[in-house]
Amino acid sequence: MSAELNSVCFNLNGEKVIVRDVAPTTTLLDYLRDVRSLTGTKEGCAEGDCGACTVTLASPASGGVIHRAVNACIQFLPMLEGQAITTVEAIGTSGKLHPCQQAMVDHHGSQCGFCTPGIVMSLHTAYLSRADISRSEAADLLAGNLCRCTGYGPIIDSACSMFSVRSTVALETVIAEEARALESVQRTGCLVIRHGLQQFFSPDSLDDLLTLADRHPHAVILAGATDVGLWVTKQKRVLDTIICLGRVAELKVISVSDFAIDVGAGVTYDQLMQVPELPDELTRLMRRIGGQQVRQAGTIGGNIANGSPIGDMPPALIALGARITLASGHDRRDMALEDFFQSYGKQDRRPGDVLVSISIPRPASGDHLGFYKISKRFDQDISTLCGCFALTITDGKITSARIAFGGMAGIPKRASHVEAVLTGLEWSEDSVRKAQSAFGDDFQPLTDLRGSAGYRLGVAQNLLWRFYLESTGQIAPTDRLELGQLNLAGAS
Amino acid sequence: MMAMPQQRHATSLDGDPERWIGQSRLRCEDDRLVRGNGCFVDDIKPETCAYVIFVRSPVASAEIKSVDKAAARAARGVLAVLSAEDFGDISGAAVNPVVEGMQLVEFTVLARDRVSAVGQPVAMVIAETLAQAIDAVDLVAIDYHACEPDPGGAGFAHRSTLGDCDSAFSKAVVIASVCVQHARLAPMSLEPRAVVADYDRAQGNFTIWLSTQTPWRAHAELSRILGLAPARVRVVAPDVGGSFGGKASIYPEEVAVAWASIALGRPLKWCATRSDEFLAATHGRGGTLRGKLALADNGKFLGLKAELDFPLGNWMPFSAAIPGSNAARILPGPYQVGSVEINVTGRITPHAPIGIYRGAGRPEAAMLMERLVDEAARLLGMDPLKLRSINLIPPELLPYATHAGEIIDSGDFPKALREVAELSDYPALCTLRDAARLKGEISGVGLGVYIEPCGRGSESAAIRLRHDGIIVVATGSTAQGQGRETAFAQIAADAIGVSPNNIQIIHGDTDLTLPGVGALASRSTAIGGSAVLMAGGQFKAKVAQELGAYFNCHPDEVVIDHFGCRQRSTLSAGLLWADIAAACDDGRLCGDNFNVKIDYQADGEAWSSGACLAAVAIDRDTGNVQVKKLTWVDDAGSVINPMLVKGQLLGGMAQGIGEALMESLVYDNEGQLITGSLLDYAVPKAQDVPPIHIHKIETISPSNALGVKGVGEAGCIGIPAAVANAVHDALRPLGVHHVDLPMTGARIWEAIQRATKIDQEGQQ
Repeated sequence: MSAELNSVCFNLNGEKVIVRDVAPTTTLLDYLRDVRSLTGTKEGCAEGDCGACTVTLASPASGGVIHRAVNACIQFLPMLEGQAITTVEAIGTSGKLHPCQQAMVDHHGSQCGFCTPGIVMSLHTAYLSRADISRSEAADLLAGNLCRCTGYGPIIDSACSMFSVRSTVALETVIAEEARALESVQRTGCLVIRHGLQQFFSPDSLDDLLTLADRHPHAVILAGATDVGLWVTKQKRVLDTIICLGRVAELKVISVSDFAIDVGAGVTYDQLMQVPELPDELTRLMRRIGGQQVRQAGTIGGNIANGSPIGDMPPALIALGARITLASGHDRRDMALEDFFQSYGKQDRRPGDVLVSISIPRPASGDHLGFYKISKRFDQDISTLCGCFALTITDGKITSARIAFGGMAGIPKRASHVEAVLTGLEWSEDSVRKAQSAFGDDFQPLTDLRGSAGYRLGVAQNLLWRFYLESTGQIAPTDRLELGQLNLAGAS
Repeated sequence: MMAMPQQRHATSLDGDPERWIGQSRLRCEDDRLVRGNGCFVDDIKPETCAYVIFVRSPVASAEIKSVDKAAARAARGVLAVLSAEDFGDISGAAVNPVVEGMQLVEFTVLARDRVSAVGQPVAMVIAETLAQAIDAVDLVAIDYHACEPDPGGAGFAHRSTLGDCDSAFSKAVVIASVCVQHARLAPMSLEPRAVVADYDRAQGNFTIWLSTQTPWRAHAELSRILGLAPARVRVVAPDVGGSFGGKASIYPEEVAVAWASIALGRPLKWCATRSDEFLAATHGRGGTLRGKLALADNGKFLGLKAELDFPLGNWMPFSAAIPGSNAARILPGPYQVGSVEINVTGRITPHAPIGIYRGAGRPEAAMLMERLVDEAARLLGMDPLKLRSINLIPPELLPYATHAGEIIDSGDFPKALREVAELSDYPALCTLRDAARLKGEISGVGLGVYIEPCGRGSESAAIRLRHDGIIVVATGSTAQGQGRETAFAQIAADAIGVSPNNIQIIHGDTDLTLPGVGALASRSTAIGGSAVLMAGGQFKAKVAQELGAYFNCHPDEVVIDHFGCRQRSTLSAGLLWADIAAACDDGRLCGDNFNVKIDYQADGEAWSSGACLAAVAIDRDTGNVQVKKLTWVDDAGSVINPMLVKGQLLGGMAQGIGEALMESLVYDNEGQLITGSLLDYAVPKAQDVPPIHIHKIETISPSNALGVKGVGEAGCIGIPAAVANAVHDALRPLGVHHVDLPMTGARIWEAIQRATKIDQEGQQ
């Protein structure tokens, strides 16, 4: 094990901060409001849903700085080691508002003002990391921010106009200064925070991570905290031992070969979405998972390892034929993703196991993909069901069918009966009709407030039909994103 | 700076517009809010402040056998653990007995003997830190014995009639019949409820910072309940993060915190969590409304019979009966109907209380009537637009006395309908819809016409000149995002003849304002704004009087502008406002003579109105609705600040879309709330809100000095009705005639399946 660091060191609004003797599950939001009296950052839900606590997080990256918008309410303080936080108080000067703030004033983007700081910081993060934004992209940017007053239109106006308002200091200067300041908080060694009965480890190498996991086999493994954060803020659980993989560089690597995209367990949704080789269908589905704040903190690995029954990634990855690798000490176990999910709330993860990577096969020519998320609300909603289809068609015949659903059983599950019916048949209307009836053999879904068993089964069958029409070019892929774009373009 | 279409200042020579009213002036509130410098209750932390957490009932109905506080009391940092026995016979807050013969159900501060809804506060833990309070909550041992819920029964019942409805129905050629089941909704202000109570034992002064729409109501109720001299009590509503009717009454938690602050002699803070809000803040809607509309063969409405059933929950906030009584008094909406028979009841139920969520009975009335009109149009084979235009009250009949004794003061309903049809190109839209149907698509067009009463009564205003020359205007109205400081400064500026920069608007603080009503019922600009206008006029007259004496000229010769006052047609420089203030300080002028205090009584109730059109497409595979087009013509009378008005309309529209398509609080049969978080209660996000085309018409209200009408609630009234009609229009060819609210994909899909099944069985 490398040397221990017993404090947390990060930049806050340009100032280096060293925090000692702190409960490791103290949230960034509580620290900002209660310890630093930075009350601009608001608590609207403490669950990562409303975005009122959004702050800008800057991390060093090769060639500069990466800016992310995160929900301060579900970030634990030690997760900030070596990074920089900017809050709403720090982005304007006493004389002049930041362009994103000025745009909000000019377009009446604020009414009661409670969601406003979070929205300003979402806009601020975008201002730092892109050159312009379309209306549809702006609506996407705001998916993690709730506003109950404005109806969002004026905020979208603000987002679209802020790039034409130049800030007083050149953006390059701001980012260069930030990069320099970040260098001053880079440290090596394993962060070890002990407080009362709690202990928090944040190693900076995979070896140390696996050693710690071996030593503390029942520790909670923490990545982006978009799920584990709620265990603390919502369920009021006391987590005794936490091992955070956020500083393990080996787990943040994405490598692309001709055949597969290999994703480290610490890669966020947002990072994976940037990979050009990722199938468009998957990027579009991921676009609807969480909001920006969740996708920029949450990891693909965490979503799988925690076995959330409502995750949208597993059915898509199962359809693509993804495999995962678990490590325990020097041992490695490799398995098909669908085999990892055993039953509701139970995964094939033994004490001390750490999920280290996910391998996503790349579709070959002749492969057809269709991923569908059905929910009440377009963004950041739990799926009523999520249907994912991957077919290989050779000479007009289905040679391979991988179909997986979320929301239809206690775990993400393949529709093996449907697959069996389809395999070997022509990809035709007749085959679809034959296969539709097999859904009943694969799934006995529940009735809950999101939809009845009949709805889930019926829509699953309809999705196969829709996938057929889309994959054969009879209709254009129409998730609501594209229709939404058309509408937004015509907004007055 | 961006070129802003709103900022078209009709400027006079010195750069100020000739008239501030009517200008889209940017908000003076925004600088602090966009910087994070707003001050909300949770941002206030008095020294030695302790923290409160409530222990809430996990069951809907139970006897409380015992509350064991010892373990929690012994926990680290805990200052006190309180239950009902500690509070003595402290009373609940008053209920407005708006319906004759109402059975009033006040809250109990903490449940005594039994609980009557999940989430009801049973005990409170007070500790040095919030974390310590949270830790100790689980140590409070409460012994619940589950029991059958109280039968509840009627909280109120009222019947209103006009003419001979039975006779009208016997003559009818067509009778349309509709039942609308409204979902329970959460007002869901982004800022949860919050209170900081700071009792100063030495002085006997009590300051309560409260996230409220109605600080003066809270002041009166807290003084009365706690037995304090009103003069010793100060209620402050600082920046309030949205309210939408959910912060109009005081809550048991707020009384408990105030009481405990006195008992402990410590400042106490309680901020509701999001879960607390879903569980135990007031909800909205939830009513079941049934109606029958009788028509003659020419389409004339002969009679309306309606049965309105409103749930009340387990206790009554101040305005508990308002949704029901509003719906009853607004029906039959903007239409002439020969005879009317409306029965409304309020039922006590084992759930969280229902309050006056944005609209409060107005959306329910509009939804029932507009659904009935569309259903009648279908039965008659008449275009719904035409049927409406036949029956709308023509402008020449306004002001119009209704069956309920209401006077609809102004409007032009046929014009609103005509304009919405023209702006949306209604005939072309119907042609497009028909063509889409031929291609197998499910699409529909729907209309919603509405009227919106905007409150009666009075509001206060006070004006004085401050030592620095700023004219301070204190209003009894309050603000939760409406931009009151901006709009009221425009009104005062015009009334006095100065610039808004000369004005500071004060609100929300009972030490700094005269007793007032607050922000409710879309009344604030109409009544509170008129109060400012009248007070400004009086202030101007007094200034002219005093300065005339000072200049030794007639008051008419005193010119008042944003610099100060001078004598007309002389070369003397006059006095700057700061000079005038200084002259007041040193006795050359008497500042008290400038002071104005008024309580403005509106002549009547202003009625907003408008018409909405929605076009929708429905996904056959999933039932999901997509709103393709929204067009809206709103009549808000005279407009103070068009930018702010549009902001209110847009925000209301988004909530209306949520109400129509996704929002729903659901209790199971055991009374457990199963939508208690933002994961399960879907509030619209940016992608869910469709673009909209808003147009205004302007008929001046004769009911108040400004001629304005409310805008806060309109979006929740007309929009859901238009969307519901569009969805039903889309589904009609499939044999679907009824979908409950919210019209989710799952519900619509199920309705289509049922109709298809019936159709297939019929063919067999």
